[in-house]
Amino acid sequence: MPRTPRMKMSELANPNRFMRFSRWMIPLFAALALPLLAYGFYLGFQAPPERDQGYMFRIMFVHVPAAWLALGIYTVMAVAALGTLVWRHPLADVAQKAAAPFGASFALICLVTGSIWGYPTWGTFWEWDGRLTSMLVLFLIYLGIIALWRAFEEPLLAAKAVAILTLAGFINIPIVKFSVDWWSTLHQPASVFRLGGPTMHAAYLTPLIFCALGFSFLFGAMLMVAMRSEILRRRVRTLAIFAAQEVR
Amino acid sequence: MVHLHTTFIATAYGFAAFVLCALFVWAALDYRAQCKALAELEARRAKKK
Repeated sequence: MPRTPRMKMSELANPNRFMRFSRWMIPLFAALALPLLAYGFYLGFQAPPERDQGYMFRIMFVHVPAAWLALGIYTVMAVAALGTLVWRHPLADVAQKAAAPFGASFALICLVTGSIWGYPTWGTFWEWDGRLTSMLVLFLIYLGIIALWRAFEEPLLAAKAVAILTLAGFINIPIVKFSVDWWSTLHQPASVFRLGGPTMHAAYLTPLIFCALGFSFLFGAMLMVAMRSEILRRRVRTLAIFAAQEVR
Repeated sequence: MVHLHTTFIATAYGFAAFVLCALFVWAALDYRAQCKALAELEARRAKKK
């Protein structure tokens, strides 16, 4: 029977195969991330000062990729939640559990760097407007998901509860994305992912894309390390249960 | 003006670098801890057999 791409993906569902696959994918992703980030920051710091903000636009190269990743990671987690509930994919809940701390961290980076950028630009560190508040809600949802994972002893039971919470929380993702269009807000409207194409000048857009790719590969490498840890943690748990049963 | 910009930019980059480094260290230490725990349990099982 010929091997189809679909079969190859299903083969990766096997944790042993994932362990072998990720062993060489982690250094590859890390090796891609570092030059992409270095080149992105180099280009970004060569760009001319922006008309209104001067050099303050440089914060964009960490703030915007962090925001994109916070939203993207949650979307991946929502797909993984479907994988847990609908397809019972053996690695879906592993990926979901491993990704949550990274999503929370990128949301935190986005909030803090946004506040630092906001003070000299808007005159305030914080404003309870649609974009900032919905991003804070996303960060709190991530924390809730991490807390729920820790509340259950049995990983499969936790996976179902977390999957339901993740899917319910997904409603916040379009709210974050479209908040700048729906409500009057201090935050600028979308300037990259918009129907009419990016409005940003290439001098700023090119380094931003390189930085976003670099951060994405960095996240991919760290996610695979965390997934490997989670697979090992479950093996340790199973072996410990067997050992306890043998003692009895 | 440039000095003020530098302070804000450096603070933002410093915070992002700190969080990313903390994530990297946490992921690496957790992986090492799980490898060690698994090796210990497997060694104990092998000794029993």
